[in-house]
Amino acid sequence: MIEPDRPVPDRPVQEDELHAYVDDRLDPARRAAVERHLRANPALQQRIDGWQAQSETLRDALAFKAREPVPASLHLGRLLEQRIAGRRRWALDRPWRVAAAMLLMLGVGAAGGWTLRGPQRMGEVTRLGMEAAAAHTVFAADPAHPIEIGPENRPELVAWIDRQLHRQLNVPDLSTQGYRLVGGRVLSTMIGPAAMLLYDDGRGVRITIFLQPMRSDVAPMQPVRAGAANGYAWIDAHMGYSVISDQDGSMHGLADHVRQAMTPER
Amino acid sequence: MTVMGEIEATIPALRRYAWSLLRNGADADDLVQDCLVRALDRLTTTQAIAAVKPWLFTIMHNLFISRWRTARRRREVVSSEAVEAAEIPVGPGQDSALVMRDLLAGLDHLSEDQRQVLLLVTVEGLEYREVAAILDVPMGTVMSRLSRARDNLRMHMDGRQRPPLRRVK
Repeated sequence: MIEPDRPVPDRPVQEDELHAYVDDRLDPARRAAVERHLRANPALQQRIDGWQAQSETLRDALAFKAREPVPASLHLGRLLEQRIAGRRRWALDRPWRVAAAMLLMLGVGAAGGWTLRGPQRMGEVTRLGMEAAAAHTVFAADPAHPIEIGPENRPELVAWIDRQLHRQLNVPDLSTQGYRLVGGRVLSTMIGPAAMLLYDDGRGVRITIFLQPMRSDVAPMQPVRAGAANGYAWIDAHMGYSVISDQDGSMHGLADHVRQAMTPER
Repeated sequence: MTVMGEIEATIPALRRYAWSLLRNGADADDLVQDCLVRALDRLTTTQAIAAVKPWLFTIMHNLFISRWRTARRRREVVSSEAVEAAEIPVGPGQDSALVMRDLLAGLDHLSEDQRQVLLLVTVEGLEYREVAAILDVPMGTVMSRLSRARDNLRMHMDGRQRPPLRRVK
């Protein structure tokens, strides 16, 4: 117990503690020790008062900047969209670069042979997850234009996605999991077209399923975490899948369900 | 709060710090934008971010060092007074506004190292060890720069503030 009236002899006050005192980062015991030290040294007290006044004035002088509304150019949603658009533009403006990058990848793959296939697959799933998370962040959050074809045209949606991805896919029914189909859209990514299916639970929680043909045959389920986006990605029969939500809870059960629903014949 | 939410919540502080370093609204927001774009890029590859605010300040500090410092130096040669006068708002209470303006002018007389430490500690409220990590210097260096910054700024203010105090109302 510390008795405030009868202080133990103080540890000498260090210069660092004077700063911590001004910045209010001392525990009460040391704070009291510094205060006693300052009372005994008026010149030092004056110096510290000056520091304190200067900190307050500095905070006041700059407060206006933190109170200003953040300009639209710094909104995160917009920056994410630009990021995706930029990546798309990068591919469209410079097809030779994509070709060079692919050649390089193929070259590494051929030179590395079998041993490199594992890491390469992991990289592909990671990229798939990133792409899915970005698409989710941009489109699922925007209730205005997330879909191109609505649930009333389910057969048309399926046919359209099949046509775009050159693959026969089914649009899974997630009603037992509490989600209904809102619709879908096709997206372009650096390595080609992808499809996104959007579901919602009727209480504002939205999940997306991202589909994209992949070079790798198969890759195990891998967690995806990017910003608020949270879910899983995997590859099955040269098809990349990702299930993303922005809820914090585990998505593993839902991802398993989607995996089964997407590959019923296995 | 999600990482995205924490980044969003830190943007006003990033704008304030960028403005204090560059003293130009447009340049400051460009620096913040660069920082956010970089952060979003890293978000997908970084495994765990212990504390979002120091992480963002580190990214911004490194961008400032690598690209933006030269922009500031160039403009200082052009006209530092014009930039300052245009950007610092003068609100009600002219006396305190004058003191604030003097203080910001005093900041310009500190070395860049001292200015950064002082701003990160007093205005942005970062821990000393966080400031050391952001600037990539030992804690002892942070504390000695803080001492010099505070004493130099105080001397500067003492020298400048007396005449206005004697004014007749």
